Amino acid sequence: MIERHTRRLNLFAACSLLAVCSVAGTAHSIEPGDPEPEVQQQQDPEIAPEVVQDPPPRPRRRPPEGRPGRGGGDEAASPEAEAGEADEEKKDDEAKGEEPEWLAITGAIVHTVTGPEMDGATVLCKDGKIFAIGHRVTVPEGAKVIDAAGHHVYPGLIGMDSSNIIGRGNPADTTDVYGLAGSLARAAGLTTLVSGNAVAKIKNGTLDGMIVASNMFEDLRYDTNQPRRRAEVRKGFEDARDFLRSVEEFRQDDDKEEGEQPPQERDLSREARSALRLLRGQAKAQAFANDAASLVALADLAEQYGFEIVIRGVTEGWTVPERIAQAKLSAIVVPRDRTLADERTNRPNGATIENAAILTRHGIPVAVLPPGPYFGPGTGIGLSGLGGRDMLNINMSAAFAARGGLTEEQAVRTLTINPARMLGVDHRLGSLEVGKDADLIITDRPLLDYMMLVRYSIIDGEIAYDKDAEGIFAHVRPTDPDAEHPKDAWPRRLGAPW
Amino acid sequence: MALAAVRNSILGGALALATSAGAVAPAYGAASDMVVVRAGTVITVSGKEIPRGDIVIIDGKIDLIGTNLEFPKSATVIDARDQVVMPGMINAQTRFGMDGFRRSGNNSGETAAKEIELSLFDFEPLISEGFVTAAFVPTGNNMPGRASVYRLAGPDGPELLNESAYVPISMTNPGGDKGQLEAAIRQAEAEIAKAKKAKEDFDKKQAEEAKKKAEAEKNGEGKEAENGEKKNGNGEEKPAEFQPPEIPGDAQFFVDVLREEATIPAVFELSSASDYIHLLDALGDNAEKFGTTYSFTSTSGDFKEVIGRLGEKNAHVIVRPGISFLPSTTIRYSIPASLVAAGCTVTTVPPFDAPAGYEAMRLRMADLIRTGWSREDALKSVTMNPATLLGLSDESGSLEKGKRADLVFLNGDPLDPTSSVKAVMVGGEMVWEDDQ
Repeated sequence: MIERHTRRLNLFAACSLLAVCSVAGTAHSIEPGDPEPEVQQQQDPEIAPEVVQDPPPRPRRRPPEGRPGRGGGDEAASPEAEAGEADEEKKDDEAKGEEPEWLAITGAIVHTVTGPEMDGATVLCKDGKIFAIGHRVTVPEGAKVIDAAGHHVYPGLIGMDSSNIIGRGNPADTTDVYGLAGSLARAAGLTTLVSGNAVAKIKNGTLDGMIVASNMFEDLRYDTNQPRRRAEVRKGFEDARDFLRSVEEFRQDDDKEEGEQPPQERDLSREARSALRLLRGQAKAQAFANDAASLVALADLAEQYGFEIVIRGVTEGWTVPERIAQAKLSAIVVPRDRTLADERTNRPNGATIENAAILTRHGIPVAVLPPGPYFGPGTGIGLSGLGGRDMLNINMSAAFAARGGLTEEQAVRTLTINPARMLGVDHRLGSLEVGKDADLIITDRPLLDYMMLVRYSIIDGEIAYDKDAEGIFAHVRPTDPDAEHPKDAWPRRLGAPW
Repeated sequence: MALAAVRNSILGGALALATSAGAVAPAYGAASDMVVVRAGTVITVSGKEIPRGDIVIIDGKIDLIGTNLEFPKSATVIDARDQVVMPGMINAQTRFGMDGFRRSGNNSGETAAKEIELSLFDFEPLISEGFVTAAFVPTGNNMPGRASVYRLAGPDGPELLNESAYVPISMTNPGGDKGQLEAAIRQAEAEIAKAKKAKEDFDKKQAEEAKKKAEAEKNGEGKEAENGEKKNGNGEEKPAEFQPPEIPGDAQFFVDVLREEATIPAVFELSSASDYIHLLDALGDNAEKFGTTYSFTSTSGDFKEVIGRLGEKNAHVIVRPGISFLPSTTIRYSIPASLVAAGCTVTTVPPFDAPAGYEAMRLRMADLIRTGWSREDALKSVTMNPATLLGLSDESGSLEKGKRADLVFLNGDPLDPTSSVKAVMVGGEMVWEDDQ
């Protein structure tokens, strides 16, 4: 499937320049004058579900002043500035004397998640970033090419919680980068996992670029059955708010005494320090709540002090979606959750398969998780218990959400862009957009199909999982049916010599 | 004549038909301390195996190896025609007999020798399996202290050969070990910066003083003679020498490494391929300064992932012998054979650090030879290679002229599981013999 591409296009290799990266929400394109066919990708499918296609590449030439780029002419930056930038870029590349690493995935059905679905498009990655997506992307000479005709391409999936796959504590210190658990996770389509308070890529054999974010959550314990604890939390927020006010007062105070010190953070309680990070927007709160009363209490708290909460569980979220939406909270739900309704409770309660759909309909960002190692809702993805039970079918959790009323596109979002936004890493992960990390999976069927198998998973533009090369699923619907099965390989099969 | 011929042929590495009638070297005048071992087979390790070989030992050192040698009647003859003689084996990493006190953190200034009270040690389990020399490593996590090399027996009992042979650094638990290693490197960098600053300050002060003196000279031109006297006096009293600030013992090794002045290697303990990746991550830009000596504490098949890279650097790897399997398969994999094929030097230590492990070692090595490791490499891995690692290659590790006569006598080939050690000689004297 992979071959060295030998088409000649010297100019392309010589004039490598970066596409203008931009975070979600702004349109961007490749600079005018770039030999790369300017394939523009719209960011928001709801607004513009079309991709502008461009004519085949032409020799690089400096665009005349004021001439808009061929990609559509709606670029924010002036072509002049961009051309200058491009030249600098070129010089940089020449100075380094390093050939960029190209990876092209051709002919696949590309699900960009934040953009349209493109059948038969090419995804071109350069040095670990997505360089272009489109139908007439020219593959540079020397690029590694994956012919993915008939396959689907999705952004790599993000697991919102995990255990024993990447390491505990600081994953960059504790992960077994050659471990089986990582291979299994990649085989399931996951490329990024949350472990503890860190977001890390499931890299194969390297630690470079593993950590995406860390310390992004503050734990918020605000259970309805612990009134004293709740009082402490509220006190913490009050103290933090007073602290911010006194800091501001000190700053504005014109007749300060000589040597007078501003209020010190170290004098605050632990709760207050935690609340301070939330109020300053340095972190999001992470809470665990399933019953309606707790969810409403969290919504009240978030509204009162103005900070963001990502709630795990949210079993009864469907009974109070308005309150959750009003407070702008995010939800990590477990579509396979089967908490029975309590008949003695005189209100709607218990789990429903429609939960994710109802929350999404109210505009609440939803991510999904499997039931978890201990079958408690939202306890994560792990290898414990029945090995791989939860992790190896993470896509089915999204499929269950779709069965409960989400559209397939929305269901794919619950494993990609939604978790990326909750983690604050959506500028790098969660969708296929030019400039984002080249973390993607190539599957033989649509993601939500129960027969779906990942063919390749690519992390930072490098193949991190190849179904044929690793023994886990090589024998299931093999690429080459006549090929001899790898004997002795895990997992054990009928007919194996042992 | 004939003797010379034999000598040449040994040196040339190819034993020709050594049919020398034998001769007594005239130099062997004082032959009272001459010992001659008449062996069934002599495994020299450095050269070819010599059937029916004789080893001439003078003053505890090997003087000649050959066949059909003649020697004076006064020489002590050890008849071992039914036995195989090989060099004394070297255990490059053991904690046998050391107390279980575990320390953690950077203790690289400590040595194992500080903990070893020889009178309390019984080395027989090691000696009876043919180990003549052993490097003892302190117990503990992270950087427990330097390895100390002992000769386990001898005419005057056990003897410390080298108090600090290498610095073991654990990376088997990267979660804790990485932080400790990084902290040790940071500490060393701080010490280097401190020393540099002290030197700069010193130079500055010197320059200022010189300036002052020059000025003083200028001002007092009339009293040249007096000044001259003073100057001489000062010069003799104060030989302006820079005293670098004292470096704490535990930081010394790392300072030496960062200055590229280290005389002993660091040995990094790895339990899986992933640990190597973490090690490189922890060392960062300093990785090359720390050398390439590793100790695989497990036989995990996933070492396959990094053996190619170790081979490129011609690393020296201490392995525990044992059959490995490629991860998640039943495909057999030989770590030592792969290491050698990749270009590494392999040292073997017992599969586990207990008498049963010492007994199992030769058997496990035989297993590995069956799966692709060469017999020569296997024998070198317990003799010559550890000798190089421990800095003993001038006196141990092979049977050659000038080396110490540390011999192991076996009743069969050392890599035959049915053979056992019958006797051990250290420095020309028998130190252990099988009672049965």
